[in-house]
Amino acid sequence: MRVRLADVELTHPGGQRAVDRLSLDIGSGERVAIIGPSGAGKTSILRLIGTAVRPTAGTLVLGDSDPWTLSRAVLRGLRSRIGTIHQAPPLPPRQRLVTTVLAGKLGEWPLWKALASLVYPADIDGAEAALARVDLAERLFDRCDRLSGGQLQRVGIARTLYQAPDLVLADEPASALDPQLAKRVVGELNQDAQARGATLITSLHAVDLALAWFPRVIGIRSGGVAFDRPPAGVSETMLTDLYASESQQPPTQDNSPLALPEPGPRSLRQPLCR
Amino acid sequence: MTGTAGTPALRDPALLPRLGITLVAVLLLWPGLELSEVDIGALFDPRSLQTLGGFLASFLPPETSAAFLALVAEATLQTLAMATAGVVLAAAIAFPAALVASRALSISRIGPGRGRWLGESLRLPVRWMLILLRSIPEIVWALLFVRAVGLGPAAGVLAIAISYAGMLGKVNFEIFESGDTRPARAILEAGGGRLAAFSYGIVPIALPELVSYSVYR
Repeated sequence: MRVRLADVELTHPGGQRAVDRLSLDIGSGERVAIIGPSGAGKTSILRLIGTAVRPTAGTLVLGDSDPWTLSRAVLRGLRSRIGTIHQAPPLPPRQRLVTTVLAGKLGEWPLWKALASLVYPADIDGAEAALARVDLAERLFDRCDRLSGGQLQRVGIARTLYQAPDLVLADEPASALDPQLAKRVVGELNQDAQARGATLITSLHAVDLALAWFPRVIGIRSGGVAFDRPPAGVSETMLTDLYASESQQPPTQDNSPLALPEPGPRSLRQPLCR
Repeated sequence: MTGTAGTPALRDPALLPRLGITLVAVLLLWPGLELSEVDIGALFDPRSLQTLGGFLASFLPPETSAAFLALVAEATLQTLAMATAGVVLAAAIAFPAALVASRALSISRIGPGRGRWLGESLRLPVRWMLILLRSIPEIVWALLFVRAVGLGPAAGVLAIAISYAGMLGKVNFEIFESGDTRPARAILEAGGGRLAAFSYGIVPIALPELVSYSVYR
């Protein structure tokens, strides 16, 4: 699904401007990482694209329609093709993982199927397969409140993998994971998007993950685009400028200094998955 | 705490509003006590103590004749049956009403703009209706229904059903809203329907409270 934003603004009721005249064009099947200091507006941008909030100005086009001019039924159909991975996964603590994952298809299922699935899970195999991709298959019938924060985050990812949407919006999908799992999960998201031709837009705190996995990296500062280029074109100065207000160095997964290899034909700065 | 010269020490900005609210609450409650003529002293007056004592003493020994016990047993059973039937009926009215009244499932909050006040204009009357049902005491409803269906348990069942429907409905939608509403919202944002969002996003959070309240009633 192609995503276009033209001069989009988002001003919160308090008057605080989260997104400031943002224009972006993300093609169908592209995989994009959004990086930037905290509070720069990364989450707001994802919420705008996911039609969770309405832009206060400017236009958003998803596929070939402006979601805010659609009728309720058509908008609902469009939303079922968008999968959002939340930074703090909004999952009911007393629900079993199998139900939580199957809820990914609620936009597609008719009501009778949704209700019947509460009595007996409609697609146990599908839920297990999705959980297996984030290493949680054996917890299929456990309750969400018996998982750790990092495991919950992976359940949220499994739900979106099960949903198999045309547009995946991941808001810091690896923020609660150790570097090993973070790599695994970001890789899984990339492979999934690539295999299905889905568009993937991920906000990431760890710059090294963004540079390693994504063919396109967008730096966001105070609600606007600071830079927008392939990882090989991202220089140390750009990153230092981007994070100037936050710390001395761009954040990485284990807080070690970011090692940008010399640009070269076979350099590691090629995304791992293309 | 360590305000350097020139800059005042940090203060909690909530201090004044909190003080104000406390003062207003006291000012409002005091006339209430005065107006309702609550006088604790009258309770311990020797004459009222004597009347109370006499009343309590007349309970002893309890009446134990077989006829009386049978009457008591029947009345108890009837009360239980009335209460159960009434509450079940009440829950049947309260549940859908609470679904409509709850803001947690409002699609219009994330949907196309104009549906918003339409949703709100449906929600508010339902809320008012629940409050109205609840604020008229059972006994008044009972008197009303005695006129309609005659003297007997049926009037009682209906009275309980109506006033508890108001009560349960209000409690239910407050429970729906008091829990974490993000799971339901996430489902709505992913294109799920209202009832699907309710049963996957709100029920698992609210169920224990709903059950305990309904059984308690």
